[in-house]
Amino acid sequence: MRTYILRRFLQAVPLLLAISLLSFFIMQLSPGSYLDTMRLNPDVSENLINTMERQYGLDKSIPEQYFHWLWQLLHGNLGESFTYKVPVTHVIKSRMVNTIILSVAAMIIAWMISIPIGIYSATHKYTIGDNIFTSLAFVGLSIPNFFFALLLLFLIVKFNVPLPINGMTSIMHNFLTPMGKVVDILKHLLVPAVVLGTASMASLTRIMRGQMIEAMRSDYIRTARAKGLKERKVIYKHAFRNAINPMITIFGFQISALLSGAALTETVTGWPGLGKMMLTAVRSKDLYLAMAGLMIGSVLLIIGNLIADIMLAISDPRIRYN
Amino acid sequence: MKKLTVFSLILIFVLSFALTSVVVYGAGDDVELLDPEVSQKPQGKHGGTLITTLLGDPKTFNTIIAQETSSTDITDGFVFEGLVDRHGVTTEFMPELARDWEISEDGTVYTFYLRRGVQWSDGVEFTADDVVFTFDVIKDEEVPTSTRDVMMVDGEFPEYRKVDKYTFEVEIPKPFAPFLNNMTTFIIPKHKLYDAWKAGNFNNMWGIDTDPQEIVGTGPFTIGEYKPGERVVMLRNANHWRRDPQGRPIPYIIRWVRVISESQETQALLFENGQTHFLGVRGIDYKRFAEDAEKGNYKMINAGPTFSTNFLVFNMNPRNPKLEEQPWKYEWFTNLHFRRAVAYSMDKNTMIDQALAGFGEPQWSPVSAPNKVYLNEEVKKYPYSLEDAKEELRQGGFTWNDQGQLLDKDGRRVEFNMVTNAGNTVREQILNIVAAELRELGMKINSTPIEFNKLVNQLLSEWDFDTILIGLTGGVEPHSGSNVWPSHGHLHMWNPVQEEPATEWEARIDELFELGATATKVEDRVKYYNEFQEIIAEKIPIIYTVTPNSLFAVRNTLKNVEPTAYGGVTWNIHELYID
Repeated sequence: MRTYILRRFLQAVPLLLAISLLSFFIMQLSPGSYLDTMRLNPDVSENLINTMERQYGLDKSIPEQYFHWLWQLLHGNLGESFTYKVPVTHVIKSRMVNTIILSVAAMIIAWMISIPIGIYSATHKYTIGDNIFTSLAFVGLSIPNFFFALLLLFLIVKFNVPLPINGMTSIMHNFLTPMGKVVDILKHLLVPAVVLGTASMASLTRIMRGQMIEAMRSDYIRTARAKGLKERKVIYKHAFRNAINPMITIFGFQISALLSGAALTETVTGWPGLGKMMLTAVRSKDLYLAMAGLMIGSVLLIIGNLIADIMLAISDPRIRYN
Repeated sequence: MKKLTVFSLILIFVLSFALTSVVVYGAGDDVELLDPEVSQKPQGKHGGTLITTLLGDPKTFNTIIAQETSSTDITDGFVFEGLVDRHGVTTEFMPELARDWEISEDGTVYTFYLRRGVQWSDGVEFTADDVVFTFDVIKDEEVPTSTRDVMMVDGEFPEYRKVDKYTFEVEIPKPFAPFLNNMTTFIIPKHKLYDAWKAGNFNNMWGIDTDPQEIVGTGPFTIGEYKPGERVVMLRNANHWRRDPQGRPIPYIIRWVRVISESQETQALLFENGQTHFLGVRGIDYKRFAEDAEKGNYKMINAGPTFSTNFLVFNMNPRNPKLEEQPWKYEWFTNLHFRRAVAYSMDKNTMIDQALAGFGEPQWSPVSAPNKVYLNEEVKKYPYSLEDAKEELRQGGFTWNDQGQLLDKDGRRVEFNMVTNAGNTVREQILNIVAAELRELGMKINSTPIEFNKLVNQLLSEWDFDTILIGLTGGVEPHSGSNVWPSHGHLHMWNPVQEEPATEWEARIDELFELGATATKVEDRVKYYNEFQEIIAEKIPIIYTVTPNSLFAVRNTLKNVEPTAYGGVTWNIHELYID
């Protein structure tokens, strides 16, 4: 197992290189540069634009810029943001933690609810309960996140629910006790986490239900039932463990989406995460900031897949890595 | 509202903490303030917390190199101040860090008498050395600031010197009327930044990773805390040089919490929920807010048109690379009758109704409406009339075929592209309205929103567009358009960076900008800029559409407010108080 993990990490290196190369060049090939907004400012002269181009290294050829970036990266330096003029790591650090808090909370909500519902729906196929959950799942799938978030916020204002509608901490946060601070953050977390959680919940429930139904139809379930096992044991020991495999793969993918899936929800609920900042960075071509975001996303994708593979090996004894 | 009072109550309890921190670095008793400014507004009550919203995060606290309004909204006028300032209502010059100034007879020497005994927020005295230092930094080619370009007179950076501790002098090579406007530049503290500048490290100073305590200004507030993506908390500068009518230091407001919310919907909800004191209202929300004004204890204010513009520009550049294939487009766009026909087909009322939800004004002159001093309201106007448009087209040699399609004098179908930047919904709607009207005239219009960077490229370096709908932000000083209107300007969008003016009227505009800049009397300048506005309206290389109005909802508990499109609600923040 250990050699397998080591091999996977080694394989990741050329993969990351390829990803960085591609994203760097694609970003550079699309028209325009970070200085475009300044070009439209009546107060900015050509001279100044040229100075800034030089200071940002944008006057060099694209391969030259790439190798410079790569060289810095190997020295542990992600570069400096054009917009903020401070190291990229400083801009990203606190926001990344916030986004991960939000995504993990959303994942917990989604998985805690969708797996039991999926199992229930599969074992009670076509009952009223199943139908209700199925319709809810479709509603959940079809409501866009930003709209659902706005709807919840609107209801909070309309009915005077004592919940915050913006941000991650209240303005009195600094004066609260440590316990009060945690509660304060949890209160702020509720709306965005529920919005994000329910969004992936819908599809997870459907997949879980389908997998479960598939498993319940197989011969070993009939055998298990025939030899007189309890229904509980049939479902959770035999059907469930076979049905869960594809879910684990999906779980791996979701880890990679931890940083990227929340932009709109974050904007609407004012959660201070990476979302909108990363989007702006890519669109305004704040090169190193955008690259840092892309690379962190790629690393998470690779790690997520690895975790999923390891979990698969644990849950399914047939899978062995050597 | 209930919530707001609860907030305030908790705040009073908590403020003792905040206050101590202000007092700690507010010690500087050896400096005596000799030239305070006394507020002319009614006496207010000291104390309280103001809560407002911001649309984005600051990118830096270094005002000299800041480029985005999201950064300057935090610092300019609140933390840092200029020698002079403009009045938020009249836009006239007012003394700020300079108590008075003189301009020599020949208009080349400006002498500023600084307020004596003004302190930086850390207690160090503000003197002419700080002003000299600020100019040194701006002059430094390694510092990326647009202020340097603006300061240039005749291609030269002005000479400046300290006369004595409280007197600062600037000398420019020739009379240049807009120069006083440059003295609104924000002054930074020498004692905090000199070493970094000498070490070549100025551009990295006072970024968002700086401890807010390090950021020192003369303005009414200091930065107390910045939480990325959440809020900026500003604290009263106890050393500020303004006084209330009873002679006590202001600002009245002790703590100003500026909540960052990138979604305008959420900002509106925060205001409705009673959590903020005022809100810039969008046209589409106006009615909803007006209905609840009494219940929510606030008033609605329509402060009139803003400086934002939306206009259509034609490519009249003979260097357009696409002309090789389609030389006729150049003929159409340089045909005055053709442009006038387009101007007559602008249905500005529909634009205001649909794109601005009824809250906007048609724009006719290149000078923005809030610029009270220089706006010429007598320029030629082109009221919406498809009949007049057709008449102009006929005069321009255009005809129609049986299907009503417009043909030029060689029998070619009139067809061209019209683009705007994607994501700006107001502009996208205006684009659709313009395109629909032009189709009525028999033209074939391919209208699409495109990516902003691509549009800027087409406009400023490729020069291969047909027509673009875009906007520039106007200002109070007409000379700030000197990269746009004179024919050598790189933002002279219809035909940029010309070596010799292509037309007589462009030559005349070049002259007028020269005259307007060197005239010293405002009446003379008004005359020159009036003629410039007439020419643009007459020749319409740029066709203006509509300007949104500036709308505010302001809580009745916030007193002494006088919102304008120019200054917003907070231009006199030091005089605002909470009742």
